[in-house]
Amino acid sequence: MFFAGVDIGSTSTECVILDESGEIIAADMRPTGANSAKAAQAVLDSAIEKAGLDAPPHRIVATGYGRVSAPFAHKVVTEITCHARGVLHLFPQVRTIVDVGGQDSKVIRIGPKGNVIDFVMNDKCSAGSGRFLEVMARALEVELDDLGPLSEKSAEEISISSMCTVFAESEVISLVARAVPVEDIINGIHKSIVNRLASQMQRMNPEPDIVMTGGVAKNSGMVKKLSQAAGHVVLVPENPRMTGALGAALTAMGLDRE
Amino acid sequence: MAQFVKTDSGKRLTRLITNGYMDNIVKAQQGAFVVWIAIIVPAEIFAGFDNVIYCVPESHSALCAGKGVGVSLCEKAENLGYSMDLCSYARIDMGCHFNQGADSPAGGLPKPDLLVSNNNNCTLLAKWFDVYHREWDIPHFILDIPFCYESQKQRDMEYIVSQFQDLIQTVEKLSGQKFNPEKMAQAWENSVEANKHWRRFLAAAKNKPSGITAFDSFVQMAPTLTMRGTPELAEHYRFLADETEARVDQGIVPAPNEKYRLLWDNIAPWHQLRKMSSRLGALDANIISASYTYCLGSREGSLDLLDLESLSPLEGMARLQNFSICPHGLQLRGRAMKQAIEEMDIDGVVFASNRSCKVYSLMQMDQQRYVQEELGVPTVMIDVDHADERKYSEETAFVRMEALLESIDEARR
Repeated sequence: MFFAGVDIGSTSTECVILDESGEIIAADMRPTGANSAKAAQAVLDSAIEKAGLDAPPHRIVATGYGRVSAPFAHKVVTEITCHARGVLHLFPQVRTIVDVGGQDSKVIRIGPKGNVIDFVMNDKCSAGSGRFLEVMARALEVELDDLGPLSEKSAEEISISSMCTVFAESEVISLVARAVPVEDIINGIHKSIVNRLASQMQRMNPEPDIVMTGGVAKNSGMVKKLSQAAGHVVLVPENPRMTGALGAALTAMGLDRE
Repeated sequence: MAQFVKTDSGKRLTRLITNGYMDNIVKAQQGAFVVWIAIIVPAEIFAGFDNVIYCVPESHSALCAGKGVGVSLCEKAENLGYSMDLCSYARIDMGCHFNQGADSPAGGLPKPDLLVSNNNNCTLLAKWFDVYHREWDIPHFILDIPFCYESQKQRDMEYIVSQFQDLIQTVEKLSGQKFNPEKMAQAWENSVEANKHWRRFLAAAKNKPSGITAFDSFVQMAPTLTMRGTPELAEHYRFLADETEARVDQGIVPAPNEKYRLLWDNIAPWHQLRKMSSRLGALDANIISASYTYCLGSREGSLDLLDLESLSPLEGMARLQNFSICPHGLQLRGRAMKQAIEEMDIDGVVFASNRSCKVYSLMQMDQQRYVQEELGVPTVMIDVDHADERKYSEETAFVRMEALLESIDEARR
């Protein structure tokens, strides 16, 4: 018997398939694009193919912003619960999760059994999310994956004061025009996002271990800065984008018991 | 799954509201003296005159938002140069009335002869009415109502009564009509009677499953604002309460499989009533009550009705000037919420941070912490705007509310 979790996010859609023992037998992802239902079906199909299954998984749980657009799902669960379950499976000692996705950021406090004690999400605007970094990378003509390594070469601390993505982009362009080194600008961008995340985190009275998930956790510069702000080493799963889908698949495993 | 059936009281409400707006237009055309008031202004005073009618711009703006024209009217005000950061009720009102009642499902409000506002319930209202005062050269009477960190003090009540007396003289002078205190006293009795039935209706939320949704009570609040002091209001609320009690007795409830009993804190999201209640209903969740609807006539810091019968009409009206949530300090708000949570057996609280109402929203973070940490009840904060749909994101709100339901589930395990 197999179980699948599909996380349909604002930027990317991921699928994880587990066997009866909870082992990951296949995982896949693709951009969500303009049709989230299509992306969800496609990523599920390709994960089924990768897993070599000849029938759909026994139970499927959908999560993420597009969770309601997955007709194949037996249940929909929010990404808050799924991230908690996914992370706890990977790091049983974790108590605080910082998830930065494409369009939102959240801090989740979890109990020893993986239950969500409290969570806080960005409000009023989505500055400081993955999309913010994508816009900045484009303005600086730098690959998204290079932001982390480049920021670690920064020699001077600068500040990006604007919280609005569009205004911050203007600020970055003016820094470029003044020939401020790209490494320093990127470092400044990371600092501004981490400052915002750190205040979100402080509101939750974070307890270690702290884990960062979501696409932005692949950025080593961000993780380092967040560790400094938290005063603890921030752990990162091997594939931080998959934790939501993993949590959904684990939830699918428990469905028959509910 | 929730059931949405138009009840007899719902049909009755539509008729009452429509007739109320039409009556005002006709009476104004026939020469009535027209007063525009803030919701908190004691409308019973105007019943003491032969031919004075009153209109409530805030309630009219809520109606516009509920009927789907909130955004277009906000844009009309913004086109005139009013900031998007102003309250959406104010923008809807100005967008409508600076464009001859454009888009209003009620045809707009008849132009006023007098504006009456107050300064404790809404931080913006006096300035909003001042716009008409300047543009149309209409007198503006502002009631100065002290804020309230404990029960109303006797000297505050006396101070407010003295202003009511000034208001009566002002209307006499401007309208040329003689005030009759007996007629006002009769109107006051009608309001007190209406309030009792309103409480009976709200009490249906205590039933398990709840006999009502907060969305029902949001909608049914309208005549309290636009028909205060009339026998029709008392009769309507008697009908509403009787009907609701009978439905509960027959087991007819909006969410028969109710799994989550939620409390709403802030003004209603007028543009989302049906959508939000349906989507929550599909999750077997019901927002059964709201701080917003309980505030009418409550003793400060509680849900209990004020004892108004032992007071003279003017004193009673003065006592009610602190009735709404907005002028209350943190402790009063906390106490009332604790009572609501206990009496209605609330599973979770939805704090709606309202971009258009700073005075309601300002203390919500502290309030949220209190409910969560001191009372141990899960909560969530969502971003809304009571009448400007552009400032609301359904998906971001629902991911938070659904996560609240999941955390309630987890706590039950």
